[in-house]
Amino acid sequence: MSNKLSRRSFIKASLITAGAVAAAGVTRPLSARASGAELCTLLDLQQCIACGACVEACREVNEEKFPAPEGPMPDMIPRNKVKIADWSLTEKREIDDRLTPYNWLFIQPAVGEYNGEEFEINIPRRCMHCRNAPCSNLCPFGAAFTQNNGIVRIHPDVCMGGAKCKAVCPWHIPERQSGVGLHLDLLPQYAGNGVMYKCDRCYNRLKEGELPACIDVCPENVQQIGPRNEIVEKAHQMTKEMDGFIYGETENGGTNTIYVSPVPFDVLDRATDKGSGSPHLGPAADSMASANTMALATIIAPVAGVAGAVARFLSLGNSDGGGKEGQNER
Amino acid sequence: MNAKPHLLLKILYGAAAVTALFTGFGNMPLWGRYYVADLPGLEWSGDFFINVNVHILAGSLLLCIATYVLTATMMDERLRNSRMTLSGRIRGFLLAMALATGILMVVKNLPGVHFPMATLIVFNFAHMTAALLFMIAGLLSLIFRHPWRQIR
Repeated sequence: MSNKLSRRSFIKASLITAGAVAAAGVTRPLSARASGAELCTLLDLQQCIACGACVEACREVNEEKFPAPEGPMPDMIPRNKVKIADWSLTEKREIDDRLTPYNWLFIQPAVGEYNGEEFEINIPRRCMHCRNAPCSNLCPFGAAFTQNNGIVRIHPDVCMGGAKCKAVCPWHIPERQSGVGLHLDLLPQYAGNGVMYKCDRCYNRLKEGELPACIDVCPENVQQIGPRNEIVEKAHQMTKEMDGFIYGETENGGTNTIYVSPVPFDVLDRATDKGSGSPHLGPAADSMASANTMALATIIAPVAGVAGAVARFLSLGNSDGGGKEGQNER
Repeated sequence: MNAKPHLLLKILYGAAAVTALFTGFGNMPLWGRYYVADLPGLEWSGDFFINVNVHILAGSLLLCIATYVLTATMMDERLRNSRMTLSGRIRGFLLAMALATGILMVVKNLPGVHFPMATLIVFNFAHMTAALLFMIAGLLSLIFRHPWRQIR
């Protein structure tokens, strides 16, 4: 992982860290985190020095949740459509520069030029924990779900590894590990293909009143966590002070991960390597908007049904030749 | 109103049921894996967002038809001369189950609505089971020509 630190980001990080520590506003009171209120994280991208402490801590505390495939991978059918995704080999497990089932957080570097000045910004990337998450809404088995505190999780004992969550996620965050999960006990070759994994915001640590590992260990206090309304307010305050930009507040209808940067996110997006396991920073429209508009149809439908029957009854009255009821309905 | 359903109603019911079942399987997701989305004209079935939208629309049409038929039955005394067959009652129950759980799933998708995981699993599996059994019951009724209703 890169340890490069530009002079500009070092000075800014030092000043902001000092200010933040002095104000003791970096962490929220334990009661706020455990209360079940919608929690949101705020990441000040000026402060990240890409030391990798968050990535390491994430891997360490979540190790027990990582997949543990046993035996050979199933021979999937059809082979050319269903690819095995095996990240369990030692060399693949150690990959930490992209998202994998064994690496739920990575640092995405963005190097470029903005307003005639060179920049080097490091972006911790993981699940955005969307407010109305398509992965959670569209999972056909209920394996993906959203907690009341805004954490979006995938339950490894229920997930079939169909990767629908990855397909509908605007950032394609969840990653598959084949050869594990419920599908092995059902129709291993014909349905499912492992389990999908992603950041669960250390839900178990939060439940115990602790901070998520990535926030807890960060030496630069890049992240804050707290009730969403407070975090959004802070994000706007910070962008005003630094003349910066926000990402995550409105993307995909709003997420519970908000990035603040002195460089616009479309510039950062162009300056990052994107691809499988390396999400973009581009625009993301509300992916559930059309499905939720369709929900109106379920309200209109019964009203239309009743109105239709009444209208037909009134228009035909009792004069309809109803003496032939002997005919059966199919 | 006549006890014999209007032809248009039968066509709409059949089309909505087939579409709801087809897109239901597409939501699983199966059509991308098993080449259905590769067929000309069915590429849309591999797109989960189109699939879910069509699924909701088809389900809404079934809901509309169900409420139409129920209201008509209550209003028209001549329909009371006929009774639901066992096959009709089974299909009606399964359809009602599929529709009720389907509505809960639509509600679940709205912003700010979060159900616990256990509830979600119950809804999902109840919806799938009811729809599958409805499909089987519907096919059997079609093959063995079992009507919904019969004259008393």
